Amino acid sequence: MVFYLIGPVIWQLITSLKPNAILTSLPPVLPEKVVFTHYVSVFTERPFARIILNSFIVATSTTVYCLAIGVLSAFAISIFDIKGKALFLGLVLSISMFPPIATVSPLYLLIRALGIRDTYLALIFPYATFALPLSIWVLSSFISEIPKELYKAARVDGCTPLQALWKVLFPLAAPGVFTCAILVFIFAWNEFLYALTFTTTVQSRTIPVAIALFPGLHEVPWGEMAAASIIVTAPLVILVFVFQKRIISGLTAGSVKG
Amino acid sequence: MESRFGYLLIIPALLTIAVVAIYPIIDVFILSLYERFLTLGIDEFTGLNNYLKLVNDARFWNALKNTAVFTFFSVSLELILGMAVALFINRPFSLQGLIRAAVLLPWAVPTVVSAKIWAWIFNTDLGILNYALLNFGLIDADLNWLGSTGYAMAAAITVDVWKTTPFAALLLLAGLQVIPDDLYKAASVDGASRWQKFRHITIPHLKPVIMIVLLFRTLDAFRVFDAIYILTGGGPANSTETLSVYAYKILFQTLDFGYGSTIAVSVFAAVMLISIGYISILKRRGGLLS
Amino acid sequence: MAGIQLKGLSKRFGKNVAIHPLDLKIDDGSFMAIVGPSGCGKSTLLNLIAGLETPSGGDIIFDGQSVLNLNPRKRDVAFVFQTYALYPHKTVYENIGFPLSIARVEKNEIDKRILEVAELLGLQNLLSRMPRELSGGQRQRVALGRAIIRQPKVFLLDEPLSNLDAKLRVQTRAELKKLHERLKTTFVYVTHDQTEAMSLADKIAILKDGKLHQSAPPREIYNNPADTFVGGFIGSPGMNFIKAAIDAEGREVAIENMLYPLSQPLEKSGDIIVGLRPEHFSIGEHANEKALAKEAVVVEPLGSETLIQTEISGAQVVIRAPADYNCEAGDPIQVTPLIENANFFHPETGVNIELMD
Repeated sequence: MVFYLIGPVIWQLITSLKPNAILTSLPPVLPEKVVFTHYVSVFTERPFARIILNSFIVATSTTVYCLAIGVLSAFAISIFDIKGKALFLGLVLSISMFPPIATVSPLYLLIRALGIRDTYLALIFPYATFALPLSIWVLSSFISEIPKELYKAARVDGCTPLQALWKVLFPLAAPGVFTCAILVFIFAWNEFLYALTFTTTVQSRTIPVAIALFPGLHEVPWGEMAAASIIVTAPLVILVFVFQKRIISGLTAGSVKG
Repeated sequence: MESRFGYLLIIPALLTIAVVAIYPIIDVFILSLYERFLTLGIDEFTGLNNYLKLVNDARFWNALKNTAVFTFFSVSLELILGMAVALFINRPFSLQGLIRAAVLLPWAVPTVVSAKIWAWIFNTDLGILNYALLNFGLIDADLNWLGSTGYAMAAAITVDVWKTTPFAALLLLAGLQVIPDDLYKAASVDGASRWQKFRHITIPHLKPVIMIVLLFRTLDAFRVFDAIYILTGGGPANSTETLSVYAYKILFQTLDFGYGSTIAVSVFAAVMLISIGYISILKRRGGLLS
Repeated sequence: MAGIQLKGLSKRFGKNVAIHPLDLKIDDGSFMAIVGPSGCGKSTLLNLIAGLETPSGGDIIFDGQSVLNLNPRKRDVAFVFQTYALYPHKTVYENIGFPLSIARVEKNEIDKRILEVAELLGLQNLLSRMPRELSGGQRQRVALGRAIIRQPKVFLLDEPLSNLDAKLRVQTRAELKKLHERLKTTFVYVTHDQTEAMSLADKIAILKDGKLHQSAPPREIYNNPADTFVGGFIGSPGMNFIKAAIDAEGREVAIENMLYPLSQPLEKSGDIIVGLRPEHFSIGEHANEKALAKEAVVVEPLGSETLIQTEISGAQVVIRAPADYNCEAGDPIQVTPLIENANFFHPETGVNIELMD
């Protein structure tokens, strides 16, 4: 079972380290010598550094933006008993169910009209359609575990509402915010449909689009593609191994009675 | 308590939702009532014409069938495999952390990458799968996995199952871990067998979680785009073309925004129907979506 | 320091009435206990005084000034929560000093005052600890420290002892009383435990279902409860209620088939409820002309006293007998109600007839 789950990734790793000569040889052989030529050519023959930077900026900005407004909403519904809390959460939940294909055509027209195609903004805002509901959902399940008394205590101790949020509640919500940030980052890093639609130039692509549209002059460059795949996946693998507990708690937040 | 301040806090989120979700979903309905080609400069209100076209569009029905087949098999397999994985991990053993991370790995791999990884494995001449099957004597000649109508859908389902079983497994595992241990002890004292414990304690307690896994996974599978677009592009002969892929092609390859939006609306409507169905079941059972 | 006056104060949550309009006066420097069963609205009342909830009607007055438009930070009140609400990410030192640092008090001054408070509460050695490293009693003292350091006008305490174990609770109760005598600041103390209220407060307000039933000093409440609810709620065990009848002149009360003369005539005749505390019976083995012949149903030897349960006029009655009273369940007993101590309540409304205007 473990083999089924990680085997394909390992096979891709092996492929990426093979010289072209034995890449397509059957039976498949393990390379006698590990070569990094594919990794090098990904950066020298393609604008891969730029593309990684694009992905990084878009994913990070989406994360920061959605978490900032998500954490405020989560405070609003967990700490302040606002009326319409159920309505708001219902709205958020149903938006998380929107199929991206249903919003892609109006967003495309909007982005074209605003003239922001091929910019980071053209991805950051659309990414909020899935990242914001995710943030609000995960964060409010974490923040609702903070006792409301702490907010009250901060208020009678002389804090303004904002001070109470910033000095008392935010530090306590930080672990949940961090967990949520990892999830949102991964989702934004992996997004494909919007990135494919809202970028037109090679320079503005994100990694998934670049890999999907990997051009080969005569044949599919399997080695380079494998190298690129490993490069994209590596940061995620590190995140998963370092923060697996947090990721699991974030993914299961709100869906299992604990 | 100071609810006015609370309302202030949700304003940024509401504004964002209005712009990136509410406005597009209204606009896609409006678009679906127009005949609109981006490049040709055609932009004309045609009422429900597009919907009439949709009902008589054999390719649409084919895409709907493909989507349903994909969803049904993916979700069923993910639930069964996910349950097996969850039961397997839910025991104390060494290396548990490592195994759990290994389980998470496919979940973290971008769908695009996982489709490419599998495309390499499924490759007709060079793929390791055909090589292995040939060597074990299971097939006589290389199979064209992604290029023949019989196998392409199975290949797409395999990729989706590989990618999303971890999610199902993790939710089910979390569900398993909140079942009080005392219940199993009590059942042991009462003389229950392992199967009886699974049947009478595990499954009933897991039901709400199973429903949630089914809901999330069904919605996700039904709107599948990335994996199929990369793996087969909907081919061969539209045999793997799902609704999202079809809508995308009409929208951005033929630039027919009116009809493309109509197909997109149909995906939206189907997804909403599915979620309403699930949620009403969840509510009837006193489920967890408060 | 401040005296507090609540005028027609009420609170609704949607359709639910948490507090019916009530008037209450809390004297400057006094110790007021607000007591009632859970869900009676006592915590809401405290939140209203603190400004953590907005009232639906009425006014809150500190020292003659309405504070209705002041938010919590301007009201100069300190709050001690049942869960203590210590900031988990701050040390004891930072927790106690938090109100001052928010008020931008000078660093040296904060240090000085933290040390004073720590000494007063015996927290000197714990200042660098985190809340999770403290015992329940220590946390409780940190919460008190955070309240004291403000030198607020009013202390609001919401069930501050209920998370402590029984022994520590009695000990801390005494310390709280000493603290109040030392600070001489107004304390408003919410509890569901009538013993706590009786032992601590100068004055007790009794709340049930959002309605104020009585507010008076502990002795008065004990001796002359305003209604059957107060009589039953205060005292352990509570007051006994016996159905009886008053003669036409209001001079005699009939319990079962026995007549008891009243020392002061009542302006009421017919059905009535007689309220008698457990100690307001004499009990013995031998009959006298005023005794009711009964049978002990349950006998509880508590060490300092013996409680004997029996039945009078169809109602269960608990009688407090001396510790050495020898009796077993089923034994015959002779019970004499000491009518001169009785309170009389209206049979339908349960209101104390002598306190009725």
